[in-house]
Amino acid sequence: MLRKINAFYVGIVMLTSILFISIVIPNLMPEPAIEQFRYHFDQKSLEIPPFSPSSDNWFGTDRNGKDLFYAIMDGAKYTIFFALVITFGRMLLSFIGGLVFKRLFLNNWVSGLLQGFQFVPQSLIVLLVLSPLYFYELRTDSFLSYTETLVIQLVVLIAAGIFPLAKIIAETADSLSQNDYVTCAKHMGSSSLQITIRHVLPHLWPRLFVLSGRQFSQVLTLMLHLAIYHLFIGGVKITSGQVHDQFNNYSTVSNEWTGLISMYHRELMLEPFVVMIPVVAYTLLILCVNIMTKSLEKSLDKQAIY
Amino acid sequence: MRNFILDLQQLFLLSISIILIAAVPSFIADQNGINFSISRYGESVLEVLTTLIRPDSLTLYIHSQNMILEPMPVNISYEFVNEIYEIPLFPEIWNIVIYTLGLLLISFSAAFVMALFLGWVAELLPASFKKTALHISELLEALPDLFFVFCIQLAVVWIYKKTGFLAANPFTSSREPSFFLPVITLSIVPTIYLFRMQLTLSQTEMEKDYITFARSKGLGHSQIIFHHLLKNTLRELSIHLPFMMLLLFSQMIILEYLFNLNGIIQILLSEQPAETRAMLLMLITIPLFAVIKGVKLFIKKERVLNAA
Repeated sequence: MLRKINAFYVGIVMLTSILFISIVIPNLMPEPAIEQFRYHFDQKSLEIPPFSPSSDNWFGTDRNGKDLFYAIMDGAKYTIFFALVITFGRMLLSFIGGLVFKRLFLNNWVSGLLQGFQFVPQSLIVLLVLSPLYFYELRTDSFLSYTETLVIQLVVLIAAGIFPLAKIIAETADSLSQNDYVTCAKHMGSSSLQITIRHVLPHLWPRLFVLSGRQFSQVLTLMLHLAIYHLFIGGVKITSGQVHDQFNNYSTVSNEWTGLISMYHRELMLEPFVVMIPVVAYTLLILCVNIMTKSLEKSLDKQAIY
Repeated sequence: MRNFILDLQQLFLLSISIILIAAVPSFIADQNGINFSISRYGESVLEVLTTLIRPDSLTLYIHSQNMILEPMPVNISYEFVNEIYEIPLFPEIWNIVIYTLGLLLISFSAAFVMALFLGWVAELLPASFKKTALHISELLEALPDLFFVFCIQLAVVWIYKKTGFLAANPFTSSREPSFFLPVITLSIVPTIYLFRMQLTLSQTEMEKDYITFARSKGLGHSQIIFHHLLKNTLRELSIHLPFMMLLLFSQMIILEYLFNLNGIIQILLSEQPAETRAMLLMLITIPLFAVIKGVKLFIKKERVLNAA
């Protein structure tokens, strides 16, 4: 009985419930007030944040007293939403590009030119491209508004992934059109558009889902790598108590998970649980997506046999 | 010979694409903000090309923040001023490039050898163990690389706290660069990836006729695996080498921040002219390209010799 429940549906249910909870909770519940200290009368002891996990704060608080459970729940929707938007943008554009310019992507020279994406990681490309816009310091405020920041980030993140993905799709479509029935259809005189719609697309379709599942986890990894260098999707807020840039604090505007990880990285050696909580949440998300993709892939293999 | 010319063509195209990538910032923004312009992009590509022809003219910007004290302090006030020096790129950069490349290539070879060794060991184990190993490697592959980094850093510091034994330097300080731990963390993810590939490939390879033939001739299990299976899966594995390099390089980017290494990424990401960035990227990627081609050539030659 248990075997029949597909891991894919379990994953879908989990993702949608996380998304649902994270949209509902911040609307119903106000953010817990920041407590500067706690005085225990019975033990006559004073406690200052970060508080460890307890019944009041399920996941504890950070050094400023911010409740981590609330932050994680609030950030879940942004994390999933940004990753979904980037994945869909990439899939859509590279699907169209890959099919329209199929011949071009299979060309030796063009695929040689696309080697740059094979050797230079996407995170580095995005960081390089966005560097003139985002590596400002505390004294020089960002000259972009919130929406401008978000839009240009999403555009560059989508653009960085299009070419390699379009190449993969073009190669898959090409290997599908090597089949005998496609050759037959060609001899019968059907146009290339007809062949694509009738013979290639039905086989390409399920593969695209597997591909977008992989892309999703890749995008999440990419977001984390960018966040390590303080490039948070949705903008960064820089505060500092000191004059030297070394002491700047970078915090996310949107509580998005990868941003939280990077923000709390300093706590790693002081209070490991503060950083480990977003890391575990993020890891579980990636695991969930990967298990979904694996089960999709397996059901695809089974279909191919029959 | 023909293969060599093809490789040269690929190398040439790789350099061109790196130049194109390095010039993209000028496509998006100018001095006043976001402003897309293809003509400016073309100009900057040309500029990069003309400057790259004479490598000795490349320069490196060094950023520093200096404290300025007022000459007659009314109240003690000071501020930091950002300054940029320009120095020639070339003798300066070699040590940093060699350090980064050394980390990458040593962890590449470590991952390769470890994955082959683990694959060999896993083949010797009974089938049920093999299945568990495959499942575990699939699970581990899904974990983000940052997770391993944090765990290793925490573990090293925890052991140090408990026993006073510092296994390796978890952060680079000004006195000694850390080398051992970054290599280990870098090689974990590629090892897992290659190990899983090896396992799935050998599953299909085991069912082929020549294995059955070798077994019917009475060859031992470990000899079949070592002589036939590993050598034949190696060729298939070499297809995945570029992806492995990409994994390594993209991990290197975050490791450099997390371990505070003095590598090439922090120079790339600070404000530098586009031609310097293109040069630095080429200095890293071309050796990686050469290593991949070299390994592929070596594997091919080995097979040709065995076949003859």
